[in-house]
Amino acid sequence: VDVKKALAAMEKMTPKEGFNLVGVDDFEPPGEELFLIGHFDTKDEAEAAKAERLRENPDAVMHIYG
Amino acid sequence: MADFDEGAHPRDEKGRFSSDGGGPSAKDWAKAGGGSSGRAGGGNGLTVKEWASGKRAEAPPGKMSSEDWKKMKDTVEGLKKTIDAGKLTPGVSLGQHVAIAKDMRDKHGAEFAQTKADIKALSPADASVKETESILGKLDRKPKYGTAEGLQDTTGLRVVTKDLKGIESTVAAIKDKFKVVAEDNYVHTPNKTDGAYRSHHLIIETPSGLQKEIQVRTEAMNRHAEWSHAVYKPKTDEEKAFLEKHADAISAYSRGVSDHFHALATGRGGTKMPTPPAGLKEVFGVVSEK
Repeated sequence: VDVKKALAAMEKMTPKEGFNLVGVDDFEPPGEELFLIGHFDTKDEAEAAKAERLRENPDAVMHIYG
Repeated sequence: MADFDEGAHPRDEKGRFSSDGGGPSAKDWAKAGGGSSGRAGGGNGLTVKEWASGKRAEAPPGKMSSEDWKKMKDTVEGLKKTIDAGKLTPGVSLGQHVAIAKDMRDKHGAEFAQTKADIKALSPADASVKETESILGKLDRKPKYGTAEGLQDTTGLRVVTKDLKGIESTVAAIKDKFKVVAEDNYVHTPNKTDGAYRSHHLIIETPSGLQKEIQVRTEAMNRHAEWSHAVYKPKTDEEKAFLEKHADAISAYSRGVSDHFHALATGRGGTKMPTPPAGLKEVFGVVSEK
């Protein structure tokens, strides 16, 4: 892993305000695994959205950046 | 945050946002004989690419449903800019891109169980179909694909072998069983993006015309790849600061592990498992040698 590229990818997915729910696609090449699912004003809203998606797809890997 | 509701203002055929809700709607599309199949209206069997190149008589749906818009508005914000910059297939609106991506995901999903079973017959495998948001994100990062129909890895399959011979025999079996349309071999020369990732990638085309990616790698390569994802999980500012402070050292450790595993696998030897930077094990974990 190129940590600087990973940090840049995380930075791109981190909002200036609020929280982003970000998915991880581990079939993508290094540095391109992250994709934006949605933006939320509060962490609780992001956590709720994450829980809802996990109910639909228990294998999904997601992070909340903010 | 996006502040423009394209669902209420789809683009016309010239790519302009309309003020009167014009442009082909999902209803128009359905009336013309289209639907969720991704084929053009009227049953003429054209793909979206063919439609976009002028061969298609009817457009796919140009409007996003309010439900899709609510779910996807953040995801597609970047894609909207890429469309505006003219980098994707001309004439395909944002709503159409979303419709195509969802349709491709449905198509791949419908074939998923069979494809997975076919690969499992060759060797143990992991597999997944990309989320719609991941498809749209990739289209934004790599607009050369034109639309979601151009992506070759909406379905991803992974075969993990015991050793390099296992990779060779699995690749041979895949070539024997499937039509292989593209291939990238990072086994002996790691992916240039990070200088550490090793795997053998094949793009196959199934009889339905869908293209899928199969990644073939050894157990050791897989352990290294799985560990690499750990860096995306900093839970605290301290963990992020650790990553920033030790970025070069962790990257070097990653390359060292990859090279060491390759030396062991090829029998070349002469390497040893690198020592991880101090603190890495406690924060993000390290790659186990066996």
